[in-house]
Amino acid sequence: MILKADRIAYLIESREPPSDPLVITPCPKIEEFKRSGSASMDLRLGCWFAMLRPSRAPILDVGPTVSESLTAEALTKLHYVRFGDKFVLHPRAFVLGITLEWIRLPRNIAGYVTSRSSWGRRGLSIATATGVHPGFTGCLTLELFNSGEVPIALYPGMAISQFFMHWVDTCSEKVDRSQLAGHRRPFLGTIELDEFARKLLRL
Amino acid sequence: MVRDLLAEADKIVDRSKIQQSDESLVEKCCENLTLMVPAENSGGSANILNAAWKGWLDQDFFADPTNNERRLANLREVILKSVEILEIESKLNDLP
Repeated sequence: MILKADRIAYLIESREPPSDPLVITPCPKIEEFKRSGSASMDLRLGCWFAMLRPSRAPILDVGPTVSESLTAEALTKLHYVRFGDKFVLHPRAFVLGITLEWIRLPRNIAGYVTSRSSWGRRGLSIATATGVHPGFTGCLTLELFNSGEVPIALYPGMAISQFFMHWVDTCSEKVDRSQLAGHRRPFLGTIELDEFARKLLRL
Repeated sequence: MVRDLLAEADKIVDRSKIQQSDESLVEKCCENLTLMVPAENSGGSANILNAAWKGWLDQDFFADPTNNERRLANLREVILKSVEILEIESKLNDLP
């Protein structure tokens, strides 16, 4: 069941249970949000962007002979854009952004982040890996791509995506402590071949 | 000598009107930080930094033990985000 604005607002305001609350900070104007009757919460663009540096790697290869140059630090360049300044995303350009909001989901709520339709219709896609697991804490990395014909100016603080939340049917004891949790800047993460894939590669 | 230095440091702090920390607000910051959530309405960077110091000293600072496995890295992220949120709060409060 997807949570509506009044339920989300109640959970944010009550901070219940204190040991495992839903937290979204900075928080929207709660009364206004409650009245909206929305089934999602708008998320804003943060100040950090990470651009991939194509010159550093001729190919993205996660095979067994991955070179050192493919580490996240080597592959990305971080940019800080102050409030009031803009980041221009050119046509066909791709950059990682981050939500302004830090989100903490309790163990019984999961979520997913999607584009706002008004931006999507202008050619800006926000995220492709949209699921957020119960227990996640941190800012959400956004995969921003301009599929339109004109450059798009991105301003930190503007509402850029929407976040849907829903209950999960059983409250898990294990929570999301993946490498993607607990970050305030865009995070590339690492890709490693699992045992299944390694076995197949040996065939 | 040490006493003189401390007295001189106190004088400098008094003269420069550096904001002092407030223990109740430091506790409030700590409540958020232990949940791996940045501090909100912290009242100033002094409170955030004092809460950060408590987190740095306490090996079991985070309520969820799995967060203590990367304690300092996690602490750095929530502290720096707390400072960013403080900036956002002060910008919003300046607006008419």
